[in-house]
Amino acid sequence: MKRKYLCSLIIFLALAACEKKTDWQIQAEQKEWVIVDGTITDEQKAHTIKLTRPVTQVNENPLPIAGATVSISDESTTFPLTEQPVLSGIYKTDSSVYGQAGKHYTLHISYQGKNYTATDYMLTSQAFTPLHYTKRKTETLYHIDWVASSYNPEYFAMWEIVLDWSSVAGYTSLDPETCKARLLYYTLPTLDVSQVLTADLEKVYFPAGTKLTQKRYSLSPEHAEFVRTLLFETNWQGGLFDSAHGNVATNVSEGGFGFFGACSVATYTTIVAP
Amino acid sequence: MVVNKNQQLMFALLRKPKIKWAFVLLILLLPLFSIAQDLNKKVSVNYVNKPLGQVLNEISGLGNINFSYSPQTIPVNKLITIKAKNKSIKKILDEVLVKNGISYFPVENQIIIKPQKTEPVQTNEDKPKQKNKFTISGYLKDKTNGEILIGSTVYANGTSMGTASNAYGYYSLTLPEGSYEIVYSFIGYEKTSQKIDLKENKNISVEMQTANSKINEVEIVADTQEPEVRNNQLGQIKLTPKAISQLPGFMGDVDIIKALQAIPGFKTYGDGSTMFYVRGGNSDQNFILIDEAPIYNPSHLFGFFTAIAPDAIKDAEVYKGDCPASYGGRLSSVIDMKMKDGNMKKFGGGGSLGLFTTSLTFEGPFKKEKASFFISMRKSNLNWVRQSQSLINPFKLNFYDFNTKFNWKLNHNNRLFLTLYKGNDEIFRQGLLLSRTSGISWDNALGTLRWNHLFGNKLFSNTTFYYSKYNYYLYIYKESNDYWKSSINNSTIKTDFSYFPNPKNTIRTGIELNSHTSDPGNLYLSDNNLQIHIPTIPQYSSGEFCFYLSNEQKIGNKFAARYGVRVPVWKNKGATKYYSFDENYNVIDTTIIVDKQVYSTFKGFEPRINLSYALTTKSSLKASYNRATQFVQLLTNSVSPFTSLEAWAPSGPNIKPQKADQVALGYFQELFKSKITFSVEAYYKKLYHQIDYVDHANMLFNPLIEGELRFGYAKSYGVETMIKKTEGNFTAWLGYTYSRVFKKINDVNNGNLFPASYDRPNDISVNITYNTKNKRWNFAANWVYLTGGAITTPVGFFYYNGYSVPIYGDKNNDRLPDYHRLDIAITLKLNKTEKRYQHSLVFALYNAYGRKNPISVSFNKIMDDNGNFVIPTNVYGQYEVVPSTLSVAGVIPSLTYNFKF
Repeated sequence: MKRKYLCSLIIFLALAACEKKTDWQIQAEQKEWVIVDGTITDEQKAHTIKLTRPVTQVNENPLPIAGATVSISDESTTFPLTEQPVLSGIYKTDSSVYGQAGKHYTLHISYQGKNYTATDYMLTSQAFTPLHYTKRKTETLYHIDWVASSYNPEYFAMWEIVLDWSSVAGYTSLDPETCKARLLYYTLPTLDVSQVLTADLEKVYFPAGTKLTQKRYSLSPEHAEFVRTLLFETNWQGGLFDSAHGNVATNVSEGGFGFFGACSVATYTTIVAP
Repeated sequence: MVVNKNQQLMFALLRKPKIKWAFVLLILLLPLFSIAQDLNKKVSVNYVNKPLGQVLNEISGLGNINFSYSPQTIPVNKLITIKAKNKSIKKILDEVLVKNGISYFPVENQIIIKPQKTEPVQTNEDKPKQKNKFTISGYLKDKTNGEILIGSTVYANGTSMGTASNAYGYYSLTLPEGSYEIVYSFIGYEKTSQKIDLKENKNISVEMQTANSKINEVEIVADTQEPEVRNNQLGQIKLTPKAISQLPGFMGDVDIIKALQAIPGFKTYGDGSTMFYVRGGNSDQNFILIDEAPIYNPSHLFGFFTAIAPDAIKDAEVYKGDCPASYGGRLSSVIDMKMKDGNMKKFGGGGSLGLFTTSLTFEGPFKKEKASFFISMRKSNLNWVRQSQSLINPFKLNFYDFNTKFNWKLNHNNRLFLTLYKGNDEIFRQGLLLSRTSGISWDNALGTLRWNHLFGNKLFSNTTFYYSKYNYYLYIYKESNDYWKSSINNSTIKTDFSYFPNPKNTIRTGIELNSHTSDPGNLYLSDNNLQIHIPTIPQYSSGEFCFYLSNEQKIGNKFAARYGVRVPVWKNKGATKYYSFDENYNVIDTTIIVDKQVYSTFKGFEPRINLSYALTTKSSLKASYNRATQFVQLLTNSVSPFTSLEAWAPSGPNIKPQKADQVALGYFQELFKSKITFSVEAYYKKLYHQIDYVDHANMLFNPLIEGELRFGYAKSYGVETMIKKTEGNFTAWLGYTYSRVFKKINDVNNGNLFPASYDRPNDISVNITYNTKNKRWNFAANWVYLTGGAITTPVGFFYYNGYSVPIYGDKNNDRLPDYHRLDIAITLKLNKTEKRYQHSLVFALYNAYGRKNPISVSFNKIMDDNGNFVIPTNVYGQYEVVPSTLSVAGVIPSLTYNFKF
């Protein structure tokens, strides 16, 4: 018992509180960049493009870019987008619009006299094996066990897992917004050290009865490279094996940032069984 | 901190390059103005019937001069009367000594005093015989265990002729026929001498006794305790196990590479890391040798421990870029470690038992005085950390190393050494899902076979064959045996010759043939359906031929020079294929190379010169110029202080050889009867064809990896100062370095100059040790301070698909907080020194005041319900990012039991 206490004390002294909060003052630079966040898919729906400005402080709300003229075109058709609601910086197509695999899609933005474009190619959808989830050992909650291989040299994808347990008995009295989760996983043609030896990730647990929706978004090679660089600066940083920092890739012209993607989507929906 | 206007003005001036260099020169020249310690110094004395010994002692103090004489041959009790006012020391010595039949003359850095009758007999009859010269040669060894002594001084007393033993303990000194007293001295050993009548070549091997407290206190000796002043080589440091053992170790393990942190010019990354940077060079520009074979990754457990057990090391020589022509292949430093040969006289052993490591050593003779062995084993004790229930510890950590050495004296002219080393590390981490384990593993293995051969008395040769291999594994899923592996191996045969034509010159020459093979990394998956799609990265295969020639020359009593040249020739050969890139780094051609076809050749020419001038017996000025070429480099875009990606690649069509030119100037001064030494060195270094990486370079199993590299130059400059006291029960040193290093790389940072991540301008190290009079207790403490490393932090953020994404401006635009740390160690010897079984307890505190020295700062984490910093995975809605800093070591106490028998 004494040995155990000694060990605990040493471990505590050696390793405890290795990570701590900081009020680090960043050397902020105000950038007048246009940030593009949006995708066209082969789903028939109102497709959304979000335009914002960068922020100079962490957790700061971004300013929307309102009043821009936005459209998406394929080789033959142009789909105009309207800002909804006004001044929100969120631009939507008509709800009847859908993309088609095998086509190039180009986003056009006209704002303050500058024209920004971004093009991506929509690959065909792929069937997939649904994810696995497992019950947590000592509790009644579940967690995602496996979604897909993180490496595939041929087919690249983003996996969106939406969990909703707001209708599950015992949770109905809670704010529905607190009973939802959206998780993103990726299958990429590359592997990186900081991807394999990542920092600790937030753990998300959910009860039996949760509605689980898994969507597979096909990614073009350019889109996959953007995702890789995005993850380099987000999910793969902060561990013991970080790589050098740099600005993420983009397909937006004229010094814009972000990415406009074109993805075909395959969906799987289930209810988490007890 | 309050800074007054004068200080502000001074800092502002120092920021201007020209003024900064003027300041540096001023620092270097200042000591020159204070030099007035030679025989022309004027003093006043008034002695009436005072013993000669005391008179000399007092003159030594007045003039800060060291006298060397034997009390048995000089009438130290003879009463002297002399009155002199404002007379030169020379005139006083003439009065005191010469008139009493005693001669004196300066030799090297001391005044030798001896009766006139003991000088070499040089009568008219003998003059014709002076043309006959004979050679004294042999080996210098430790009396207790027969270990050879490297770098021992050998000189003929009363002359300016001397030499030093080489890396195998061999010396050769050629003198005119006559009678001499040959003196042998070495740091930490009692000086010994032998009178000889030199009428023929003589073989004299000497066994030296470790110094103890019974040194003749009457004798006034300028010993070789402080090699810096007299050593002709600038930028060379000699580390002995004794010196290192007095430093507080990390987790109880005294560490040779971490000890370098205390030496100006060396900058370690920080807590736990064995990465170090020398005079602006990158960490892969350091050559770490074990008995002449390179070790590619000298770290255990990320870097918390050095891969070589301290018990196994006999001696280490460290060069900060000013290395002799016999060394090559790296731009910035050489750490040349020699393993213990094994006790030639008796069996023995030792070891240590600590909380984190256990080590054992055995040594002894196979045949007394003819053959011996040395075996050392060390293993981590980290499983209890994992089993500790107090904290959830997902890491599985293990390492071990094994050293062994055998040596045989075949006969007087031939000796063989065989060294074997193997080290292995495993660092695995269980993921959130217990069935998935990822991690890294690496192993070093090397073997060296050396043959010493004597061609007569003046020519010594050593022929070495060595093989060194390094494998690195990155396990993606250990359970399914999915991994990425890179490797490098190197086999070499080389012959070095040392020729001692006369006491003024030592000529060294050698040739070397190297074969290098490296795999920059391939992926191996258990899923064959995936494996067939994975590109195969071709291996690199290269050959190297190298020739060097150098001479160490003494010119008069004050001037010495070491000059030489090294000429390497590098060839890459097939079978392989390489890609050619256009200016946008797109592939424009693929060239297939058949087996053994040479497809690129590089030649180097590396002149090296090192000059030393003894200003007085107590001070010297040194200067050096050195060019180096490096043909293999580590490709990694990691900013981690720990081993995380190791892919070695040779120079080739897309990677030009790295080159560096370094000039250095140093001033060395002994003070207070040599009890304190002061040194200041300044350097400027320019490094060409330096490597950096495109943003988010793809370094794993990428056939086009060379297209991810960007090239440019680096420049560094600095001033290194050190003051130390190495005698007595209380010893200490204080080192301060101001240095800068900048890089300019095409297509990185818009082609603008930026500070390297290891640019840490201010570096202070303080080390204090105290031994109690009975030698049972030893207290040691060291404190280090470094400016925080340069890092790249965001200048803004944008939001994309639920992610908060940083935006960056200039590269390395920010700095981590300054690094500082105090380590302390207390050693208690549990027995008297004369006992055969010796044992001690060492209590050490690493980072005694618990400074959290961050290694990184993050802007991508949230705090979970348990107060842990985690990467957000739920991107539904908004989350609050909490910027955080990550440090790796708090207070680390350790208790180690050491034993030796």
